[in-house]
Amino acid sequence: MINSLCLIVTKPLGAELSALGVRAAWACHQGGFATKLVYAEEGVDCLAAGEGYQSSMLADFIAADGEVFAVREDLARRGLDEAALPQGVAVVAAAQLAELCEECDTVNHF
Amino acid sequence: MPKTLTILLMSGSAENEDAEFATRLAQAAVKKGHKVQMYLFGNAVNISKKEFPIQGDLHIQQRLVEHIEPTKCFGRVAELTKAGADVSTCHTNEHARGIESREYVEGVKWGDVGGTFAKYLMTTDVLLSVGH
Amino acid sequence: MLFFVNKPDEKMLERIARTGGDEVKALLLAGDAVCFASPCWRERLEAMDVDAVYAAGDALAARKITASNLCEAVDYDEIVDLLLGGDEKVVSL
Repeated sequence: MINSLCLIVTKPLGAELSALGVRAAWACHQGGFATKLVYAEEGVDCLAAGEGYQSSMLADFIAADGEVFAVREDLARRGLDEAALPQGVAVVAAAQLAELCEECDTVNHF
Repeated sequence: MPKTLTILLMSGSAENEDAEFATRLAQAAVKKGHKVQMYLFGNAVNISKKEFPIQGDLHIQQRLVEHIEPTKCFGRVAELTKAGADVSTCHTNEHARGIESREYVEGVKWGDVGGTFAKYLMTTDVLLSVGH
Repeated sequence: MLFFVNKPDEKMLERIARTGGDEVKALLLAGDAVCFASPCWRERLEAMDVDAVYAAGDALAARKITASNLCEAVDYDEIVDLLLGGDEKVVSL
């Protein structure tokens, strides 16, 4: 049975899939599943928005003790300042992703 | 031993091969005695609705018709629910596409990610997400 | 770990490496991703600790791809067994 999930958002803000990822993460977390929400590739762009639907969902997720991660190399590649990320987002090296995934029963990309 | 497969489908008909793959996979799993739950998310909600075929001449080249028809999933979705698969949609994604009030393919259920998808996960052995 | 791949972007290989780490990996290819079944990808996949590649037979046939000998063509029944027959973690790319 699945008890834990790693959901990886790889699409930027304008792609519906990125919203689907954060919505799925919220649903899983509220459903009692151990949920890791990771922003990678172009998905890290979603973290820069600051306002709007996705940002508010992310804030709620973090406030509810949801775990959120962003991949350092992808942030750097896209010129995003780690210090400007929403509070509660943990920055991880790409090499650490495997460890995060190992801790979860299923891994799914959005 | 039968297991429960949940497919999170995020592509609709025609845009790529995801929906065709997912529905054919679901059919095979049901036929083998497994339980299948399918959550239609994003563009996949467009395969939840009954087809309203046009009457008369299609004005489409026959070779294009032959190319398109096998990729349509509406019939397969109806067969899946008839065979016992649990298929639900994200009604908010239907709303975003202006199709919320249209009739569902037989057996497809109204759903939401918080209630339906999370509920599916509670009895899931394997989650497969299919999207582009 | 069983990686489900349905997109042909080379980025998928980076995702496999990032999420799979040093684990032994198997790939399940569908749709356009069956391109990774071609012999030209074999060496790179083996270097990534991929020890088995399964490709949807209908997708291979539609593209007239001759798979490498790392790859096995599978039908839907076999795909069901791959996904549900064992305890492998499934990673959807």
